[in-house]
Amino acid sequence: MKALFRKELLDVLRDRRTLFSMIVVPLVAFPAIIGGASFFAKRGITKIQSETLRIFVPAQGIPEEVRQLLEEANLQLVPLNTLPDTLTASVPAALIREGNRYRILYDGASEKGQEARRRIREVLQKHKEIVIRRQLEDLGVPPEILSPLQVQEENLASKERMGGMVVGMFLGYILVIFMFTSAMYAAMDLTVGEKERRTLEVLLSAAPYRRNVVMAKISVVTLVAVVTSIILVIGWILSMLYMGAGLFGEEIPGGMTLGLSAQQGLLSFLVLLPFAVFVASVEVAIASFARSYREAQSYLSPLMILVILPAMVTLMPGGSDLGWWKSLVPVLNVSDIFRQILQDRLSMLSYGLTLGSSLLYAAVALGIAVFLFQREEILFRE
Amino acid sequence: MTVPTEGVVVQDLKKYFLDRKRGLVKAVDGVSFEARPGEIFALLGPNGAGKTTCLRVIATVLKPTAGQVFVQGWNVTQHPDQVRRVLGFHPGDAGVYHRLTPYEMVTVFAELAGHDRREAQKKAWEIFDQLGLTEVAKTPMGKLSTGQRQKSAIARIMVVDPPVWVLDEPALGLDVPTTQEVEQAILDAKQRGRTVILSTHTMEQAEYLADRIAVMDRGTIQAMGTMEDLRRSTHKTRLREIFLSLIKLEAPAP
Repeated sequence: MKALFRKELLDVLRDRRTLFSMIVVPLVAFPAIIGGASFFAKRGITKIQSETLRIFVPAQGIPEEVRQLLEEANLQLVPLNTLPDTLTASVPAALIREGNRYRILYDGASEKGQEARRRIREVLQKHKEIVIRRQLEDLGVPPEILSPLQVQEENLASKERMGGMVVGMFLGYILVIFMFTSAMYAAMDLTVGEKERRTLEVLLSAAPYRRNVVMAKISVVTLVAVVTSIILVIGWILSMLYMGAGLFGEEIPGGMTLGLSAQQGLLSFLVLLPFAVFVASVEVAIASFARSYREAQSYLSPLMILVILPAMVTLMPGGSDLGWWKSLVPVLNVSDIFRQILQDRLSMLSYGLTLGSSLLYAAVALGIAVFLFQREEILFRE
Repeated sequence: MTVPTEGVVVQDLKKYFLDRKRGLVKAVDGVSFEARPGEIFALLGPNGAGKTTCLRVIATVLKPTAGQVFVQGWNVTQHPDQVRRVLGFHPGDAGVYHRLTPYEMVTVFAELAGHDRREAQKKAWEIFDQLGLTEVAKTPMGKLSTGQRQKSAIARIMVVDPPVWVLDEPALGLDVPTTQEVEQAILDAKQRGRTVILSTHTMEQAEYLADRIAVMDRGTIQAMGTMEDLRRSTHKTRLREIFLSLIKLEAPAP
């Protein structure tokens, strides 16, 4: 078994596709994608906020004070005699006054239209406050009556919890998908790849026990999945903490960091391991059935859709409040438990059910993979 | 019947496949032969004769549909694990790991056969010297020539040196000097008392190496024996003529 494991490990570690999906993608691609998205999101927001936007206003009827406030809000007023039928890309909003009623017309499908609307609303709010204040002063009422109570917000969540919230939001989802992807290349290479290279016959005629052959293959694929996960978690955490804030449009109040305790790490690993065995066994079993690399890809690619769907549930509104049964659904349970661990709101019932069911699924998948690998009609299908 | 504890015994071996297009394919249909220690037994036949399937069953890669095969007294169906310990299989032009070096492959397979790792490493270098592979022993096999790869595959069996060698087209695609080196390794195995079963397309090789030859066609053995036996039964002199007469084709006029 030791020799088999060493042989499989040497073989898979020299496969460029496996190495690429195991190391390069999680460690380089993620920071690049998140950094890039964050940079462009920030840049886009900053640019539009500092840009002078043009709006239509009637030539007459808008008070001078409002005009001044609009100009202070970096809005350039384009005089107009009649109501516009449509707004243009260069003038994405208009302000009309009908007596005491102001109407904001804007192009809701353009970022500039939405930004112009936001600025006009702020200006009108400010104008409203000035008018009320002035009227109160005329009546001899102190303007403080407008603010009978003060509201002050304070985020009491620690930087660690804020980090956990941001990092954990997508990590479970990304993790299960990447485990399937990285394990897929290794599983295909060690099964159908060996068939195509005709080395499988050598191996089967040399290793005394066929179950040891498949166990060694599953062990190596499991190792690839676990290593990918660890690299992915490191890449993801670093990317989100140092570059992810831009994705949210503004800085996280109070900043964020991530203090993954030894206990959290251990709890994550305990769930990760049986899940990796499950993933490896399923993929080795399917890839063993295929006659060619291409056929294996056509079987395993639809499997990704089956994986993405349950993993996505945790991202949907209310996805984390589905009840205890979600801890029994493969993929969904693991994806959710990672989020719970990182966000420091772990339910032990949920964890127990997830761990127990993952162990069961891993054992069943392993048993099926070992059984199938020993069948000639599966390995050497005509 | 008493089964000899040495060599290979094949009794009425049948191997059928169900093919979606062709229906039931009788790849091997009632083949019987015996290969003894210190003997080279060659299976000669055209493509699709059933030679490779026969060898795969002996090597426990495939299970027989019917009949029995014994290797060193072990039944391949009942004790495949025991058979694998006493047999080395070379599946034709492939069977090498392109990402591993000859040194890695040879030592790993020696360990699989239960050999001590250090002893296998030491023996590997001796064999690499013998086969002229020393300089490329630590180069991935994907970068080696066909001949070097083929010799690496033979080295894998030589390190273990099992009692039974099963070789499918051991010299396929090799140049003359490399063919000679591979053939010498096979003759040396015979000298050491190993049982060698090989399949080949090359008449010259079968005639040069084999003590006995079985001519196969369409899953059955058409004739079997020494060269003298075959000459006597077919009234032909050259193996090519014998072969063509047995597979129901005539040799072109000389």
